[in-house]
Amino acid sequence: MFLHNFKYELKMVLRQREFIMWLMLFPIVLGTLFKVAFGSVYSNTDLFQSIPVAVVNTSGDEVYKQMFTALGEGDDATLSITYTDEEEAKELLFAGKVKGIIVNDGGLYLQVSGKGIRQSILQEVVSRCNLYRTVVMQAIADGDIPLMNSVIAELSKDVKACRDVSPTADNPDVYVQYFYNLIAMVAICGSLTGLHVATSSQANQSELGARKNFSPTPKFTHLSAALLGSCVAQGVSMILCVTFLRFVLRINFGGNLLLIYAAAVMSGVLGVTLGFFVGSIGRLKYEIKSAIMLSCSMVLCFLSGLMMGNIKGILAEKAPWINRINPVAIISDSFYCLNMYSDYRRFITKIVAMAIYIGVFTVLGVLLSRRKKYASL
Amino acid sequence: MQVFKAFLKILKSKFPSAVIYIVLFFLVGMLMTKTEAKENVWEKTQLKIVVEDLDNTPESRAIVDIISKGNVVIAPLESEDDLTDALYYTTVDYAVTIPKGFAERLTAGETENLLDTSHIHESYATANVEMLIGKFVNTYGAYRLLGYDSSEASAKSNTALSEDAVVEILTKETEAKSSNETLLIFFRFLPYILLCVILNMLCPALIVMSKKDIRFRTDCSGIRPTSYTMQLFTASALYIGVIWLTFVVVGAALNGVVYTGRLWLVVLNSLLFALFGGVLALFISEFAPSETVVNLLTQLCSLGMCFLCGVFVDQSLMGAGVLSVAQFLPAYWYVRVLRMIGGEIPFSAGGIAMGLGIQAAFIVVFVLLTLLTRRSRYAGFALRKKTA
Repeated sequence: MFLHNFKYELKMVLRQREFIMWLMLFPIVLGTLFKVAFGSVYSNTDLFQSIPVAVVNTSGDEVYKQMFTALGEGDDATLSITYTDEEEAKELLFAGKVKGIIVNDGGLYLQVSGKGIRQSILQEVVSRCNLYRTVVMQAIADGDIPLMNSVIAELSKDVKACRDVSPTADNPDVYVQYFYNLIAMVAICGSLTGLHVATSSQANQSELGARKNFSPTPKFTHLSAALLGSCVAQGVSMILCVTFLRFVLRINFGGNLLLIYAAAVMSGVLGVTLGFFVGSIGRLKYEIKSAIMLSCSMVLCFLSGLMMGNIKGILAEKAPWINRINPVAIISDSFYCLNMYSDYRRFITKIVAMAIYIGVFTVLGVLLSRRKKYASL
Repeated sequence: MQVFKAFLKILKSKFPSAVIYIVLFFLVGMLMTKTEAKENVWEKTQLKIVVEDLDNTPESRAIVDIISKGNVVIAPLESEDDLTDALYYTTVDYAVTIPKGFAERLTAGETENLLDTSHIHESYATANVEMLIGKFVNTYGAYRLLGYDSSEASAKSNTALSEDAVVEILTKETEAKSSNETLLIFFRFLPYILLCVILNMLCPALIVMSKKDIRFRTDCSGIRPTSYTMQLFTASALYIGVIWLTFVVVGAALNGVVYTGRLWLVVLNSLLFALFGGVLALFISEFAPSETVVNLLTQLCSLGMCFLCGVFVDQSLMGAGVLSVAQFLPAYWYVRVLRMIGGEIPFSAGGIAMGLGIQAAFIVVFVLLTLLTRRSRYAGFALRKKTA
């Protein structure tokens, strides 16, 4: 009887063509839009590139020119310099073509049109040039003129004082987390199928539920068959979602691809069981339950960083428990752990957390939906 | 007015779900505003750097002083994993460990690999901190050459490095920055919330009105199709108006702002976008999808449009190609008007009028598309009836 019900559940899911189509279309369309929107943001705006700056020399002295030339040379130059006059420099600044104007009127100062990290670096550069002047002037004041050349050489020396012991990431692009969250969202959208499983087994929620309750099949049998059928369908959607993102959009998730597939399938099952649990609570109408489910899902997705990538980091500082209990954050974290950590310790923790959620939601769903006989509704 | 009344009755029956959507999306909106406002302030001013001083000498303390000037120094985190997460999510920009023996090596004239550092992104923040550290090492070396002993060289470097260059901020006269930053951030995220709430609430009610039985009954009644459509549009506009007003009033109350001057343009901008949300709901409902599909479509439209048009990610960070595609969507013009009012891009009456005008044009186009779809569907249906 279980297999019979399971077969029909799968047929039912497949016949909901409109829903299946949208569930498939959802990651395809959103993933493509994400790719278009974030494709080059990381490399263009987050990674360091030479900062365009205009240099205006009103004093006529060439003291700093050598320093600027050094800063603007080479493949990893700090500055991309345009020597110009005051008027043109301002035009370039307001047109956004340079981030600041370094003015040499005997001393150096900076003009900017806004605040930000690039402007801070420019301030640092100008401070450095002024500092050199201070040190050299001190050398002159102390009568150490013979040492002048050595001091200048020491100040201009390109030192590598930092030994990098950074953690390694397969893909450090911070925008890839939007795709992790997209997968998590598709998984949580599976809660709608779980919700359908719960309501279609309740006689007061649907005609199908009334017929099922009236039939001699034990409730547990048709419920578990329906749940398994929905999980299988959702699992297939998740596999297609990851495949599209990885192989069509060529998103580099980082980490072991097989484990990414496994985590995605498991997250789909989590979504279905979450919907099943919410659907089994109380006797509210399907519309209200689906409104609760969807709006809560969106809040969870927001807290996981779907709309604002840095929210998860902020929560890790202010309220880390939210990240630990938010199922959407757990799902996206599982992909993140595969990308960031070479060992699977944290990934396994996330998988175990998902498994616990699946178990708890299923057990609670079954407990809440049992003993709801047709006569008792 | 039967259609108008019937539609409001259906909307009333959907009220409990509507309240859930409004409350939760309002919460999301407020969270977005608060988080973004803080982020803006932090990004512009300070870097967050984890510093661990294992050497604890005058030299190491001098470098800690230099790093902490104008930045936020954070104590070492509990675990390596916490540090990795913080570096990835940029809640920490850089981590520096000053190892034992740092002072000895520095005094001996060594300049390579003096500090152990961690970062994930080769970002501007990373470059900034490394430049700062390099500057200290160079200056210390120069003072040592001038004959100062180690502690004097550290102190002198510290003093010399404390002097910041003068920075002058230039603004165009037309670029008066708005003082209502948090309110503008709230309005920046409003398109997502408006689209979600309006589509999720209006579509199910409109779908009920388009159900076969109800449509048959309406068709054989004495109501003219034009009157039916007008009543449906009026009821929808009333409903949208109530939702929009709720967000505008509560948004102002929570941000402690009274609408004056250019802020009325912000309000008008949001009204046009709310109306666009309404006509989009009318258009989608013409195809009478199921409620579950409406939910997915809502997320698709709202998230897609908001990501592409610069609601979630600032337009200034997006590539020219993406923005030229986004121009074909109303949310792009909505955000552009806000950026002009906020002073991010030069304000011009023509630019504002163009932004608002294009949004109005989108509303007109979708109204026409809805009417066209409605007419062709009914005409097709009548034709099918005749043929049968």
